[in-house]
Amino acid sequence: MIKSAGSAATTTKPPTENHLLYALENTMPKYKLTYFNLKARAEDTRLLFAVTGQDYEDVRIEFTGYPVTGEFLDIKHNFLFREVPVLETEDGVRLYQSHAIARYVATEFGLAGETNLEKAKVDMIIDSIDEAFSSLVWYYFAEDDQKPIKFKEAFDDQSSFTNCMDSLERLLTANKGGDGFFVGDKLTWADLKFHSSLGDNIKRINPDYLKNYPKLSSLMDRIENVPAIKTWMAKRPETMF
Amino acid sequence: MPVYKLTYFDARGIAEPIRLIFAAAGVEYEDNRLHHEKWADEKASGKYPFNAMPILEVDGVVIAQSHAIARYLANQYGLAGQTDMEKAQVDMVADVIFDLGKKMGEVLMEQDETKKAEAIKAILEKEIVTFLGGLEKIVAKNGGNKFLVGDKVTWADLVLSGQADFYGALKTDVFAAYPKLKAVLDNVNALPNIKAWREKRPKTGY
Repeated sequence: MIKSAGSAATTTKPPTENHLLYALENTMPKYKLTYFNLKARAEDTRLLFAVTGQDYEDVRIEFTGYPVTGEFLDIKHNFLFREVPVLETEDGVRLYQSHAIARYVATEFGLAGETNLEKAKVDMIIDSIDEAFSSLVWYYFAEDDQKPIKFKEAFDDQSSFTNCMDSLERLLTANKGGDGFFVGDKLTWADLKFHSSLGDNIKRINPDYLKNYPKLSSLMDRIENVPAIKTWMAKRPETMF
Repeated sequence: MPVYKLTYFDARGIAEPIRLIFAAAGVEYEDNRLHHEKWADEKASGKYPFNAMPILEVDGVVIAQSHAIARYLANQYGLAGQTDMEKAQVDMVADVIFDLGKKMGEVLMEQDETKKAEAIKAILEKEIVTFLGGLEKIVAKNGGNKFLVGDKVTWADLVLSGQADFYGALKTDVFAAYPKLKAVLDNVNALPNIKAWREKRPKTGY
């Protein structure tokens, strides 16, 4: 298991004579996020923490492929639904389900949308991106000889994945011409989810495909130019997906 | 009051929690049920953000994705949970129930009878135990409240109500080991507005 500080360095020192000082230096982090050592369904939350500069403990369980083996099997009984990610707050409350977690963090920092209607638009974009992301997961998990088939299935121009990308390009464009963000006038969780679940993966495995989507492509650049995100992307671990 | 129009197939499916929210809130809406033959033309109209249903039109503004719609209405009408963390717990529970429903859908769509029987056995031993067992623990921690989260009905309870109507297809009393969860379901289905809607709603196969 890898434990590290997310946005800001937090180090633990050995106990000192001054117990108050020790308590202050070793309090529960405000947030502790536990997930596989993957971007996958927790990276949007990590990007939210990065962009808001919020400290958190970034706990990563080793991941070597599907089906999941090793460390996770030993510890999964600790998780209420045998799944990760899980977010723990400093008062010991646990929250499961990647979207519930990300929405909670986004809401705390005003990145979930301004009005209820904007929040609904963010939510619908999130859900659709997640459905499309599932196609990519099958590609990543496929055996080498199956990968070309899964690749073609995902990126086919009639695929549900392409339907989603077409829809996202349309939605982005409909928001004041598409040179800003998915919803409203500023970056929201929807943009970060797009980056981490779709855009980033497409850039790695099929960059030409992204060129079919000019507004989404420039959104990717816009996100990656946010200094805090640039910094995080440079320092985060390299992972399978 | 905004003008609401919900469009979905003539079915309960993933739209039923939305209808249950309207019922719980006592809010009027147009319950637009589309026949399968009409769907191709509708899709081509470009009105559906992701070419899928359900959609909700709110004074003409279109929202897609069943949980996005449900959460929107829940927030408008006080059915989402009280604090930010409570709302997050509601979201979590709703997503868990939805994930179980998706898994069930895969199992029940299996055409081969032998494979289907095996898949049903597997889901009863694994996902039902994990997900409903987890929900049972959540209810147990919610004191004597006969709701999933907090002390009043939320949209997560209504997702449970909608989904539980499909559990019979597993041909087992899935709630046998989860009496607290069953008590929540019975309590929610007994709420006057919910009871009334469930009695009068169109009877559909799914």
